[in-house]
Parts: sequence; C-alpha cells; structure tokens
Amino acid sequence: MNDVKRVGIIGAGVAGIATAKTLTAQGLDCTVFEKADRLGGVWADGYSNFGVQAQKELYQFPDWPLPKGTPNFTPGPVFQQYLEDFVDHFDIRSKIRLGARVTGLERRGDGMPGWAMTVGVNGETYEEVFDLVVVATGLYSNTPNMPSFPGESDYQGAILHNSEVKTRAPLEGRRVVVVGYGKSATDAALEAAAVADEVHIVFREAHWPVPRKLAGVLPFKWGMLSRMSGALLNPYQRPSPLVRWVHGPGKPIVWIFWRLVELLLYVQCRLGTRIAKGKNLVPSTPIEVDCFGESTMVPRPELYGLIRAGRISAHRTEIERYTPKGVLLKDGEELDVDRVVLATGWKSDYSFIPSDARESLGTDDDGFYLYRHILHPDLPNLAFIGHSSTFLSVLTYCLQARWLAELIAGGMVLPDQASMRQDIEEMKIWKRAWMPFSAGRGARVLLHMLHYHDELLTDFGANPLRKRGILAPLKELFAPYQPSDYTLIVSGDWDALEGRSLSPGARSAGITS
Amino acid sequence: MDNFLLIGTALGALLGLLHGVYLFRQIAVRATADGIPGGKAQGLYYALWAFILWILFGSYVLAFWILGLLAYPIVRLVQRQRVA
Repeated sequence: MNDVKRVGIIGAGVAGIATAKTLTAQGLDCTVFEKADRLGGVWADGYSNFGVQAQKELYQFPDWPLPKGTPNFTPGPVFQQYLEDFVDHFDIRSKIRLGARVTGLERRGDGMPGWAMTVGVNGETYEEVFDLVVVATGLYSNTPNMPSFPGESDYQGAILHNSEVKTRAPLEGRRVVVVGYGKSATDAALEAAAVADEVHIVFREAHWPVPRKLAGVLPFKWGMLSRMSGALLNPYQRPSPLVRWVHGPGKPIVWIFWRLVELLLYVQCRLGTRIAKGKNLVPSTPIEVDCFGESTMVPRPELYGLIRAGRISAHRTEIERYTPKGVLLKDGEELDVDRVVLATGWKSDYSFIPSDARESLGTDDDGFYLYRHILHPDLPNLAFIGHSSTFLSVLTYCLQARWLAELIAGGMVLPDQASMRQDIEEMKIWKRAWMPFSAGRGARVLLHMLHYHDELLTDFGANPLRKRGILAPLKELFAPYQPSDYTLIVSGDWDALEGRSLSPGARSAGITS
Repeated sequence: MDNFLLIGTALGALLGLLHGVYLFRQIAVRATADGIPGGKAQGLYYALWAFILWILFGSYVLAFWILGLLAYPIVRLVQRQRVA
C-alpha cells in the first residue's frame, strides 16, 4: 500500500469520517461517499429518543472530546451535532459527498492496484478511480432485517422495523408488540410504554443486562473495561501465560467471579420477576458467554420497573404467526395488537463489491472474517473500517484508521498472505468454539476490544500500555480503558513523545525508525 | 485463619514472582530490543507492582478459588436435579 495517494471512503458515519480525518492529515486525497443527505450514519437518522448507551467519556473521539455540558448517555441528536462539528473542526467537510451512492466497484483497468468506483447521484452515474477504497458502511444501517411470519398478508395492523419509529406518534394510543431483546427493542418498548394503550415485548431468549451503575453505585466501565475483567473473560485468541493459568488451574476463581456478577445483576435488576406463562427474565446462557452475543445492552433504568409493574408485558417466546387482529405466540397466547415493531437488527449489503471479491470475503453464515478486522489478504487495497463490533466503537474505528494510516505510510509491514489467511482461520476456529452464533459473529469483538486494540498498537510499534503516572501498574490492572487513553495514538503524535518501537514486520523487513 | 493467610500470602508471592518475571520480559526486554530508553526500569517497576499486589491479594485469591471449587459441583448438582 505504499503508493496510495487517492482514497475513496464509502460511508460518512463515525468510521468514515474518522478515516477521512486520519488519512487527510497524512496528506492523502480522500473522498467520502454517503448515500444519505446527512453525514453521521446511524446517528443521522435514528429511532425515537435514541441515544448513546454508554457514559459520554466512553463514546467520543479520543482527540475531539464531547463539549463540556454534554449530557451523559448522549442523546442521538446531540451526538449527530458533535459529528458535524468534528467534520468542521478537522476541515474535512469538503471531502464528503452527500447523496452519493456507491453502486459498484471494479478492479482498475490500467493494471494498477486500486479500484474503479461507480457512483450514483441524482439518477446519474459516474466513475472515479482510487488507489485504495475503504468500506466504512458499518454494521447497523444497511437493510433492516424483517423476519416474516405466516399470516402476514392477513394482518390488519402495521408492521414496522424499529428504525421506522422516528417519533412516538405511530405508537400513540395503540396496542403494540415489540419483537426482540436488544437495545433497540427495549428502547422501542419504553417509547411505546409512554404513549401506547398496551405494550408487549416478545423475545426468544433473555440476556444479561449491563446496568448503568453496578449495584447502583459503580459506573459499569469499572467492572467491564479493565484488564482485570478482561483476563477473566473467555481467553482471547492468543492468551498470555497468566490468562492461560487463570483459565486452567485457576478456573474456580473465574467461575465464582462470574456467578457473583450474575447474582448482583439478578438482585439489582430483579431478573426473577414473573412474566407471562410463569417464566422470568433470567438468561439461560452464562454471562461470560452471553456478553459476546448480539444483544448485549445497557438498558434504560426504567425498563425492568415497567416490566414488574405490568406496563410492559414480557413474553419469553416467539411469534408463531400473524392473525388478522394480532399475533399468535408459540406458547399459545394470542395478542390483540395493531402495531408490530420488529427490533430485529440489520442485514449488511455489500452488493457493490464484485461477486468474485465477495467470494474471497467468504459466504459463511456468520459473516466474513478479516485480518485485524480490516483487510482481506486476497483483496489488496480494499480496507474495512468499522467492520467490528466493540463496546467503544468510536475509539475502535479511530484506532483502525490509525493502523491503516501507519500501513500506508510504511510504518508497519503486513505479514505475508499465507500468514494472514492462517490468522483468519484461527480466528474463525476460536470464535466458533464458543461465541454465540449470529450473522455478525465474524465482526464481533465486544469485550475483547482491549486485546484487539493492543494488537493494533503493537502492529505499528506503539506501546499498548496506555496508563501513566506513578500508579500506572495499578491503573493498568483495575482502571477502565477509555478513549482519552489513546489521544496521542489517534492524533498521530505518539511516536515523538513515546518513542516508536519497530513492529515485528517492520523489523524483519529491515525498516528502521 | 493465620495459617490460611500465610498460605495465601505465600501462594501470592510465588504467583507474583512468576507474573513479575513475565512482565519484566514483556516490557523491558522488548523495549531494549527496540531501542526505547527506560524499558528496563519500567519493566522492573511493573514487575515489582505485580509481585506486591499478588502478595497483598494472595489470600483473597485463594479464598475465591476454594469457594469456586466447592460451589461449582453443588450448583451443577442442583441444576441437574432441576432439569430432571
């Protein structure tokens, strides 16, 4: 990638604008193509009362903090404005083309590495050539996933994806059923609870919630985002000797730790609450596995209270079929509802990538896997930024963009193609051995993000230990990692202050710092 | 109780020593190989902290380990009886 000059970035959400900022600062000529008429991705067009589900210091750009006075659990429109301000602050607005949909990619016809991109604007198409294309379309805003159930054509009510519920108006005075148990589903149920006559939530399986404050006292970041808690999770792909010991002879410690966490959540959220058909809200999957599922979420505090009070009727089952006046559940109960809100996620759409390239990416039912969640060895000069699901997505995308920038600048060298393919295969084996299945498992990192971030930093020779001060070792173990720990990395100023070390690839390639 | 604390602390010291050596090698040796100054001092600093923390918390770790060892088969038995 050393001869990259022109970069085409698909998507102007967080990943796209972080990439544009980073690569533009490196002197590259970037153009961002966004099909919507606003930048921001999911934040540009969210559902009713949507917002960030993490404390504000966890969900911000490391080198562009949220303004003072921003409310915690940043409301969606506020975060959207923050993205607009980011683009202006780093002077990349002119790089972004709104209303421009990328409809095709083909390998360059002149034999040079890179891609010819077909773009559609206002019904017309044109072509542009780039040395590198970055796919930054994310995981949550392509095509709504709308499961079908028998009898749909006979149903007299309205069936909506949760992304279509932009205000409370469609739910006002209605009898609503929400399908799902992730963040979007519980948010939709809460919106309905404010205005609807009747609210039901139907879910196949309960999941362990992440309370905003553990035991009502400790912000969840202290329990989830430290190296200590990371060591107690199911081991990462390449565990250290200490982690291997902890999960070997030390397994009873790990087991009791997570059972105590489950006990805390059971008591705090009163998961034993009786719901429909005598069931409860206690998940059947152990928390240390469940937290790597698709539906890990930080619910709004009022959710479980409303379920206990009966304002939201919870049904731990599935929809059997639609009836003319509602839905029939598999547990035999029939719900008379006139609004069905499917909070059932998204399908990714990579149809603009040529079919042979999509074959290379793979057609596995748990999504495609990439080296470092960024590159595929068989698709040179095509990168994915934002194809990874972590708890601190903004930070992760910034670090991915930095990784890519360092690669382009020659600050690191990739392993050979065979090694990258092997790494991908090992990741598949590791994830499939224990991570809950979903169509997005290939992109899932979640609470292993610390290890993933360490890998990225080590690749380009930065120190993955980011805590500073006399108590640094203690902070490394117990303090949560958050975007502010990576400010120097993301801004590109780290090597002058910390000293760049040579990545293994750079060493072997004879590159000197 | 005194014996338990002694055993826990001794176990912590052993684990702390092993962990400390590992950290020293990770931080100091790599930094020296890469020509980053202060790597040995930083490695030693982290190793000492690891050693001290393991000593301090050794008994707690041992207590949790025993608790887990005892609770696990009981919980599994109760779960199996519920399923049956």
